[in-house]
Amino acid sequence: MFRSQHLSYKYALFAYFLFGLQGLVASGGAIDLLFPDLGNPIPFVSGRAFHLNISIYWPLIGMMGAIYFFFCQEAQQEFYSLKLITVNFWMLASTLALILGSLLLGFNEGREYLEAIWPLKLATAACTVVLCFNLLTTYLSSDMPKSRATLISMVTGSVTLILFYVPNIVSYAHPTVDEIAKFMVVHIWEEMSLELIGTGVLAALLIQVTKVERQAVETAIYLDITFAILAGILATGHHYYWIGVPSYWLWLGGTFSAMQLLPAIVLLYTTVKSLTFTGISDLSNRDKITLSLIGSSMFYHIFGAGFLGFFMAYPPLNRYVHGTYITSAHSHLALFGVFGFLVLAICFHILFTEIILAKKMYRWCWGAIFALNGGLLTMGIGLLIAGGLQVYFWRVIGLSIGETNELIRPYLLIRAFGGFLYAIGSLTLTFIVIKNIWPKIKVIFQSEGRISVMNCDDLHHMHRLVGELLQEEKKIEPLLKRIQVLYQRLLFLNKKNKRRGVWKKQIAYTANIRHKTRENKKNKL
Amino acid sequence: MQFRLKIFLAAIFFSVALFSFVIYDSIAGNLSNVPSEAVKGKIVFQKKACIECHTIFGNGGYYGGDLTKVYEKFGSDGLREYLTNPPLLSGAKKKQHIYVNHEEAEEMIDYFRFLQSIPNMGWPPRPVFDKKKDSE
Ligand code: HEC
Ligand code: HEM
Ligand code: HEM
Ligand SMILES: [Fe+2]
Repeated sequence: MFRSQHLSYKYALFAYFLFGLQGLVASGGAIDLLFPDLGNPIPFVSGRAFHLNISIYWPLIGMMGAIYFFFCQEAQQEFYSLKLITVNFWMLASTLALILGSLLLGFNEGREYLEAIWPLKLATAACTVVLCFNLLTTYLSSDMPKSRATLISMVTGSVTLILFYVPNIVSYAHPTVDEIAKFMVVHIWEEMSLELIGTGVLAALLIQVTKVERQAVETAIYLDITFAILAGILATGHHYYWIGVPSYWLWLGGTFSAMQLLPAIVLLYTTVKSLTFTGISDLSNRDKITLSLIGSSMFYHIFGAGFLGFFMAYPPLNRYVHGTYITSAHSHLALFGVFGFLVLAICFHILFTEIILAKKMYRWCWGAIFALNGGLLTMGIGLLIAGGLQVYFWRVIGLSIGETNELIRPYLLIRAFGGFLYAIGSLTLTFIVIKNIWPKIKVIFQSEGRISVMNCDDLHHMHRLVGELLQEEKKIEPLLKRIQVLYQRLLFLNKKNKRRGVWKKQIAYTANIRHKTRENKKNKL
Repeated sequence: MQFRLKIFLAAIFFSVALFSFVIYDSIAGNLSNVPSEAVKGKIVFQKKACIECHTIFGNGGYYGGDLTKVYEKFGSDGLREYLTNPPLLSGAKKKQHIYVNHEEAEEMIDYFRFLQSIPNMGWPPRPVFDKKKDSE
């Protein structure tokens, strides 16, 4: 365990907080669309801008935390500057807080997804620069092979974040140029940069959890990220069809979008392949939750992003479905479905590395995952129907906007219902996470100087086993055996390690627990 | 350097280069100048954040429909009337469409006139069967 990993906890916690907030605010917006007279406390315009900005920044923050957590593990060394990890967090968190606050107060640049005023966009760019600086210096000084796929994908993903954000700090006089620039963030960030980072992080996580051999997945990761680059960048064209650019974009966008299914399929293959390396029943509860969230992400990657996107990107079809709730269905299924679930999985893994989640909480986690999936699917279906009807009413029989809005209201109700279910899931999960992290909140925000250097994987593993032991009396025998093995390893290490005091304390603690459980058992008998 | 890393770097180089080239080609020489009144209108449009409820070129919010060719539909007088004397939103008994003063309305009308003139392959498509025309 590296100290850098310790410092990334706060990113993960913040990501969970934003995710809970998103469900809450979005439900308000969905009601506003249904009952315009109700009088929402937040005007629809500010609320929507708030929602869109969280949807861009939230995956970003989660992925940045994931980079700080997994990159040092893959590079086998600490980050170049530990201080910058903390500085970067506070920069990003305060930038986002200012953005959300200013949007609620009505400061709005009037460009969808890029509503923040320009100084705050500059600050966002600065955050990505800090990330890249720390990442590149660490990469260059690492002793690991420079061509290691996980390192390459995280580095490339992060550098392209800057490259494609910078054109958006200002807005342009010509609306076509505005749109061209906007999709460098809305499309390239999501479908290329985050995809690269996500692939690298996911691979690192799978290697750790399922113990799959690195060599077995290395080529697959390369294949994946090469396809993601080749398809992702030029597929931006699927947003450019009707914005006033030359018609060759129909061909470019259509062709490269069709290729976008490839990385999704390779990623699925890699994941499934590494999962066959491990027996599901051997996994800890924490790993089971993590893997089921990853599984959800895979599902939406193939269906919500891949297939739905594939059909929508076909220009003659796009001509009709463009600018309807069908796009909205896709954006929720893809943005939340793919990156949302991935960020939740990774942040869950990160946060519960050292802190142990009580066993009885897992039941609630399963419930929340179920609600999230059910809610998202309901929302997606409602939106697809609403969008399909919009196509029919506007583009086939030529009704007006007002008449159409009246007719699709029932389906927006289904969407709102799905949204509530989703919000229940997101609030439950966020509540569980925050409630269990709260007692250790000081540790999460500890500065780099205070973290003990004593962190060691085996020790954490042991800590976890002891925790499980206390909760599960039936499985005591095998667990004790595993602890014994670990003990021996630790004792062996201990001999080599001069810092004896701390080890002794930990061992005395475990022995004490062992004694207690034995007593417990006796009492029961 | 490893072979697969070389391929990967070549893919980046190729994609970024081609992308930059086509973007350059799509902007330089292809786009007409924006009249200064239209620029003003665009700024008003952005300041009022109309994009959260409306789409331009199909991108934006899906509540109020697309405004790319709205000039063709309403003309200057119709737009002025709609924006300065806003009707109730459909389905609402109290909530009106956002109000805009006369000056802002004029500037936005210039912007809509300019938007109308941008060649965008005829999007949005005309309705396949125009119900209103059939019933006449
Ligand atoms: C709260 C959301 C919202 C905002 C903000 C908004 N509109 Fe609208 N707008 C609507 C809705 C909804 C309709 C459809 C009216 C109906 O329900 O009949 C509409 C209709 C229109 C129409 C008539 C369109 C047609 O094809 O019939 C125009 C023109 C228009 N809006 C312009 C604007 C402008 C310009 C702005 C910015 C100053 C703006 N709107 C801001 C929601 C909004
Ligand atoms: C991981 C994946 C993906 C994410 C996060 C994602 C996200 C989004 C978002 C947020 C939008 C809405 C943009 C807007 O508001 O205008 C969108 C639109 C679109 N996406 Fe994706 N997407 C993903 C994958 C894909 C794939 C793989 C394809 C195609 C093969 C695709 C094709 C499209 C198309 C064609 C649109 C435009 C819809 C329209 O015309 O309005 N997407 N995507
Ligand atoms: C964390 C999860 C979510 C993410 C990442 C997300 C993302 C987005 C994005 C990118 C858009 C803009 C594109 C579009 O209009 O479709 C959007 C719009 C919207 N979302 Fe979400 N969303 C999430 C959850 C929700 C939930 C739970 C609801 C509740 C019902 C909701 C309701 C809405 C509404 C009402 C809009 C505006 C649609 C319009 O313009 O009419 N979203 N969301
Ligand atoms: Fe896209």
